[in-house]
Amino acid sequence: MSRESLVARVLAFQDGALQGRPPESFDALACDLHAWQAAHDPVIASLVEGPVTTWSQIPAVPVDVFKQLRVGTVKDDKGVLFRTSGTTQGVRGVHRMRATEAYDHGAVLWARRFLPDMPKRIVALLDDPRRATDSSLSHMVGLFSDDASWHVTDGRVDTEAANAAVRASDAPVFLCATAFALAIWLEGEVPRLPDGSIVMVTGGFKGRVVRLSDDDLYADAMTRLGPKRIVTEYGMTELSSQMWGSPEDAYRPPPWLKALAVDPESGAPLEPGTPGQLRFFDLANIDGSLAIETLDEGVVLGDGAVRLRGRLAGAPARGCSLTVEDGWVGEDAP
Amino acid sequence: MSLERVRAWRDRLRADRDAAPDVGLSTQGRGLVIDDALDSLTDDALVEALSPAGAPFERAVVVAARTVVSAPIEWLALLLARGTDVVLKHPAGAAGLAPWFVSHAEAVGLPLVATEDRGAVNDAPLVVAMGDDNTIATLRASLYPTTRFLGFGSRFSVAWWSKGSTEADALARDLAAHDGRGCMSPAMILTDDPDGLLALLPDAMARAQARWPRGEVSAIEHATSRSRAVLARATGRAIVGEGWAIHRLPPAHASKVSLPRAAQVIGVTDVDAALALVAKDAHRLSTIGVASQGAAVWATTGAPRVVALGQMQRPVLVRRHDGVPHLTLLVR
Repeated sequence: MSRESLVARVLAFQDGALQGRPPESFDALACDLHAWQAAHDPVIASLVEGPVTTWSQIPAVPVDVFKQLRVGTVKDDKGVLFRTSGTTQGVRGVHRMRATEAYDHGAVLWARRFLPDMPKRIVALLDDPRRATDSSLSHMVGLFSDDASWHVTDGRVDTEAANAAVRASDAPVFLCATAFALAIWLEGEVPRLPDGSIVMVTGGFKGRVVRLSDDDLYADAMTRLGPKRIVTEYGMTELSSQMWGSPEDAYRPPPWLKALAVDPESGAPLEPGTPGQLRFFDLANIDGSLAIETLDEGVVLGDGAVRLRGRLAGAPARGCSLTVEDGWVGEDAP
Repeated sequence: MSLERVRAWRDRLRADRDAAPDVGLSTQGRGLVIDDALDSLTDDALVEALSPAGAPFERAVVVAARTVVSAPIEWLALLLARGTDVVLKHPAGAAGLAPWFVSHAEAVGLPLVATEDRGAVNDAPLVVAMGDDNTIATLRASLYPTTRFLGFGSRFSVAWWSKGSTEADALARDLAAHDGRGCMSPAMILTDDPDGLLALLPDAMARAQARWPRGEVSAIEHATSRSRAVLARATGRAIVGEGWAIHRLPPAHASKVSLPRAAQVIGVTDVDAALALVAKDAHRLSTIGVASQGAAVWATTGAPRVVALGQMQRPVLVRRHDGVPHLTLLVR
């Protein structure tokens, strides 16, 4: 088994699965990919406790471990490197890839499937991927069109430039933003989007003092921007595939990404429909870890869709520092 | 008069400790930390703690922590014994032991009330608070310049286990109190004999769990603990028992964050390496628990408390609180 052969199988799986004819089973490809990763990464190998015969048995690497260890099969500094935002704890996780062929192929395929009416013109409240080369979100949005403008620099939203970009467009735009950037933009005067525009919102407010409920944000965006619809996107730096949804509906993973809710204490899988800690099994994660354990809570429905419920319940583990902090500074006042 | 009432309050709390409100610890775990706090209020210690001369404040606010529920006991005792009226400000929706403190104070005629109103601190002449650095800074900035403010920011504690040590049960006790969430909980155990420690500690952790079962653990704490176990498996060793865990990690992955009933064992070459590991955060040290020997060398870190294992969570009343001479600051 080589990387090249695995990439070819993943690309074929992505193409075939969307046509309803996957060339092989998810299980077969997942187990082979995991075996290859375990053979080439001592971190993943250290998690193997027994034989793996189905995807849900593949040991998952917690996202925090990406902040501590070099996870994955890329052991040099060649290739592509994405970093987490690090807004919550300051330490950034790193996802290294030899190349992004499966990421890119899958991201475009699934976005086009979910958004066949995606406008060509993108106005992004995101960093320019040519500058923020380690942002997986910017990288993904950059795959969707060459006709894009970027309006965040070093975390600051350039509201005037974003307004100008919207006003200058007489064709529908695909407005892509993190929830935080969108909330900042909506704090000021904003133009209505051209007819047929779509808004994509991703991410939350973690680590930010400014908070707004998702529902309020969507309602505000709908009223003031007037898009045809709002779509939601769930992705993680440690993953290579994304889920798409809408404010009303669950997130839909592509066929090459499976979600599993587990018991936070034991890590044992939970029945569909039961809230739990989310794990993802991503065939496009060729160079990292196929299985990722998040700190998010969600419900995996019987059809594989995911209802996200936010961060796992409980205060972040920070020892005695979370005393009155949770908090005089934040919303959950003592 | 006030001192006598405080003694009566202390004795009532001790007699009624099994009826204390649920605070997320097990019944036995809650009893442990209440006993530890009340044990420090000996008659002699109270008299000595009140010896600094000065006029008492008419009123004071103590901002209580969510995690270390017994921490207010010593502050309340000291202030009430001085004759100060005290408002205990507890976290919103998490009264902890506050109503219990208040009901027993009322029964003996001590002027203690509880509130979750942030505004309680606004015109208080004396405010005592513990929290993270942002909280303390925010709170300090919100008070009148004339308010005396005793704010205690984030601290962490470590234990030192030297070769030949045997006090595993004492160490497990330190890890059990407050389920490991206190500033005085050993966030990490530094040792020049990790194999020796790991030979003894699992059984001690299990015994501690049997005696003081672990209380509630949040989903994020569980997840973080399993994540640390993964890190330990990849870089050292993880031993997971029923209600406890031991994570052996290399110094590069040492964390100041303590997790519920999880011992973080960091192997080092010698005590100098251990000292070097904590040196950059020495100003944040609260307590160092020392096995067998070596207290003198650890005193060089400047940590406010260097004590024997088993005593980490049992501070005596007469001391400097995080290095601050607080007993003299509770009077004008």
